[in-house]
Amino acid sequence: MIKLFERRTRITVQRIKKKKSPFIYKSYSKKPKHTWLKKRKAAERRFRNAGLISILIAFLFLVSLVCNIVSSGYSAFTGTQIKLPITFQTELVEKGAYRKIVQNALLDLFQDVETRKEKRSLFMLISRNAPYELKSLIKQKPDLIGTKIDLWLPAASATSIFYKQRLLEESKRIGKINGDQAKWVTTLAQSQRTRLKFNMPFFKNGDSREAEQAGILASTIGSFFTILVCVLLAFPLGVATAIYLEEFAPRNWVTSIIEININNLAAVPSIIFGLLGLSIYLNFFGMPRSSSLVGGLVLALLILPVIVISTRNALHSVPQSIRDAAAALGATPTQVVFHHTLIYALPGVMTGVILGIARAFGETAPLLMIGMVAFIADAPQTITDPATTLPIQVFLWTNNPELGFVEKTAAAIMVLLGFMILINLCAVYVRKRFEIKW
Amino acid sequence: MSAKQTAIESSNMENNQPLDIRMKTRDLSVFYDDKQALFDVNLDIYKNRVTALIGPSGCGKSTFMRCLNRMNDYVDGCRITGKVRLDGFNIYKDNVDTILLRQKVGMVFQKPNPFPKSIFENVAYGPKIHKLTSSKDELEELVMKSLKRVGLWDEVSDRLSSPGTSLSGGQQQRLCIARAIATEPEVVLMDEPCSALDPIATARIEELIAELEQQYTIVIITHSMQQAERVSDYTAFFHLGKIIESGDTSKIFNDPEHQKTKDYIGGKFG
Amino acid sequence: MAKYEKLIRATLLSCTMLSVMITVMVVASVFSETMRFFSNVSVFNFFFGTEWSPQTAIRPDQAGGSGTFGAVPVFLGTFLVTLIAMAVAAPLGLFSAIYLSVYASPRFRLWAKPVLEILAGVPSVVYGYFAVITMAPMLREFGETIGLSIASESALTAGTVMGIMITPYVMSISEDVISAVPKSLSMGSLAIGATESETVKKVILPAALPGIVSALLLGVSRGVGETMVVVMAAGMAANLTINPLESVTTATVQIMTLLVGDHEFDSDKTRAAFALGFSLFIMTLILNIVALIIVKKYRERYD
Repeated sequence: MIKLFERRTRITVQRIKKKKSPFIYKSYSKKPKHTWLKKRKAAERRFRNAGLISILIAFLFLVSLVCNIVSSGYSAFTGTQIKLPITFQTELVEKGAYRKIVQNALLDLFQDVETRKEKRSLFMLISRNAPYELKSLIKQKPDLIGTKIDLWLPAASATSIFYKQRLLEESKRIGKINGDQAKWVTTLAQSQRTRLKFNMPFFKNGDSREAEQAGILASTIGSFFTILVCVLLAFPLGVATAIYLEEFAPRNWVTSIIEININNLAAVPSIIFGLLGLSIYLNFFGMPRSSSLVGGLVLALLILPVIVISTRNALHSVPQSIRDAAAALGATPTQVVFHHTLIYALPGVMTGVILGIARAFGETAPLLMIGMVAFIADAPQTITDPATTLPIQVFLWTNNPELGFVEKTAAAIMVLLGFMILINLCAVYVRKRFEIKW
Repeated sequence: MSAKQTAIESSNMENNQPLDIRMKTRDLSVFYDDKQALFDVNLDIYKNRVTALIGPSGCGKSTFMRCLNRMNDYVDGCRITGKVRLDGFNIYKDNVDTILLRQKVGMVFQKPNPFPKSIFENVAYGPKIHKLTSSKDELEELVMKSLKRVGLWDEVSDRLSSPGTSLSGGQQQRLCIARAIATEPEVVLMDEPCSALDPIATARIEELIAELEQQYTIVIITHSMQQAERVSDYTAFFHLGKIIESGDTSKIFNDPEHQKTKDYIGGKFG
Repeated sequence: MAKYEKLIRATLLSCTMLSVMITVMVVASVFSETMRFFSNVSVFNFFFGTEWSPQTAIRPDQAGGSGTFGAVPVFLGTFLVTLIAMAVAAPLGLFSAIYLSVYASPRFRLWAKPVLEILAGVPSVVYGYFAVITMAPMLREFGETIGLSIASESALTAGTVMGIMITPYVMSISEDVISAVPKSLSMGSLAIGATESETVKKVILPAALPGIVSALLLGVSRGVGETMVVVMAAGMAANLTINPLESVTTATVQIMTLLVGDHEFDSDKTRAAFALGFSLFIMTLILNIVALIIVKKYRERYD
């Protein structure tokens, strides 16, 4: 052993003598060690690139997600309208046959259409909602009866998609429109009887069977009602719980069990809360199904642990010396909390609440379970009315096979993500603007 | 730098006199973002001698030391101008390989930082990654040799597989020194190696430094004047990023030229 | 004054009690329904039966027929989708975390991290949409070009999208864990002349291993409990298969299909959903507790 040891030392000394500049890579090229170093360098590069590629994949996905949604959704913000020469014949108006009026106008424009089949496909160019628009127009201006005017009426969803895509790309696929219809739309476009207008119905309507009439107003209002209920319950409850646990609770096993309990609640899959809503709120208390009240109550359970944990963290970050200082001036424990600790921790508390709201806003599964999956055409008036929320609207439209709903879905997602970004920006603002650094 | 000076350097390098200059810095300045931490530092470090760097906290000693094996590369926003030469080669040239450089210029940190691995693995780590040994026996031998050299072998030979963090502070620091010399470095940098240790462990490390001096060139940062006086041959006094005075340790401690040096050594500030 | 003080404290305490009651209620309600389910259907059949067709049990004469509530295909499907998701999320999340904490410049990290965390904030229904509209056709076309037939609702589609959804989650926990490893350790390794990748592989990762394991466990628990992506992209049919190209079903999907739109709660069919929910709850609870214990142990080691 000793002998080997000595040999080893000698080798070391020799090596030092031989190499003049052992730390310079280039001068090293003829040594056998060079290949090992090369290998190490290659491994280093591989490892580094693997990290970079992972990040790029994640970025790529984000970009493709956004591009995908924007490219298929932006067109939903405009709707196609067709100008028709409408004649309000008195007898038709009195009979309420507004559909006939629209059909006559179309036949006026295309007088060579004769067969039943052709007529049917011609009438399908215009939205089924158009007669109702005429009806409400006559209600407002009865003096129009018996006159003939040019009116802009909404096109059917298939027509609209064909028209928009033709505007973008002449040769793109035609969609669910037949050859005749394509020809007619082209004719209408050439005679300046078509236009694209901001799609107001998308923002002021509820759900509809007709894609061109479907909108997000009802579901957005449903979302707001739900969030309102959720925050009204979860905010005071969560903050009070956090204050008690952080400032007053005795440190014993009961408290620690409560803590573990609440922490674990944060990781329970959201669908379990749906089960709870179903069995307790609906079955046991008999609350109204599909209402934003129950939805809000379920989401409140979901974000309660989020609020408790973030509030506790915020309270915890207030230094003990502040509490001591207040107590030394004779403040009672509750005064210490409500005059000092809570006030200084408020930015952190608010950030937590806002992030909780963001989570509740995007939540879908538990709300589906309590029946908020209904077809809601009218905006809910109270929190006990059947309602749906924006994410559920997205879910419903995604499942709708009709072509017109694809762009609606993407557009609804854009609105949903817009709200999410807004909420998160609020959180960032509150944190940046008000947070106290200790 | 004149051509004449360069010539002197290379001639110095060739004849293997004991008082070879191993490392030298010329006009070395270091910036952290916009803040300048070192101002035109010139220092020679002699072969097989101990050079001590002393000075008040924040004076740039550590920054200077980290320039010697390019550990500053890992500090964000750090920029370096001037030259650092090892055996006449500027280590800040592009073709310098930092991996090989650090194998030759080892470093021991202020706080003992053994890896959360066994004692054996701690020492064997360097030789393994650099493939300094070709067989398991050779590796074991090298580990043994390194542990013996820091005087730790007798204390840990029966528990080489227990974690390095289970040792006492002084033992941990010696383990870190063993880890540094296991890669067969030529220069060893020590950044306040004794600041976290008790007096007995400190005395042990100081003895060790005196032994290591035979084979290695050592640079040591210390806050203790007595320690600098005891272990070092040369001393450089840093203040506010500049070298105020450098030279023989006995000269600096007994007859400093500069008033600031006198004040610092006399304990007037620090 | 003292009265006022007491009142506030009592209010706070009762709020806490209410919160605790709610957490107990969640468990109790699901548990009681589950118990009622198991009084009709044997536990053994539920956990080891291989045939899942709960719809047939609606007729009273057939209630609780043996083999009807065999949940093995459901759990297998859950397992398969989660496995695929982790096969995507674990390497992507881990390597991203390593790159961000070791290699990335501070400026890159400053904007890359929030951007990647956007992915975590996107509602799951949006991922479901993406899986249905984009991922499924893309994978199917890709499958055709290499001669594989991929079902339009496949475990692969759902798993891949879910994996991308979990990635930022795994990434941000791993990054926290990696940056919690003391800097002095990596400096010690680098000062010997180790490359950064050697330092990561031999010093940082072994030291951070417990934390990384728990990050992965939390990712798994996310995947197991995720609903919307699988409801939209994985399918309803309970196939006993481990072929990722086929349609599988998961526990969450089954809970959803059994309960959505149903007004009756007194059949074994709906109670089966509660039994699945309870199993899911126990599974995620165990995963989380184990992960938290590991993290806690790990923190203590370096504090």
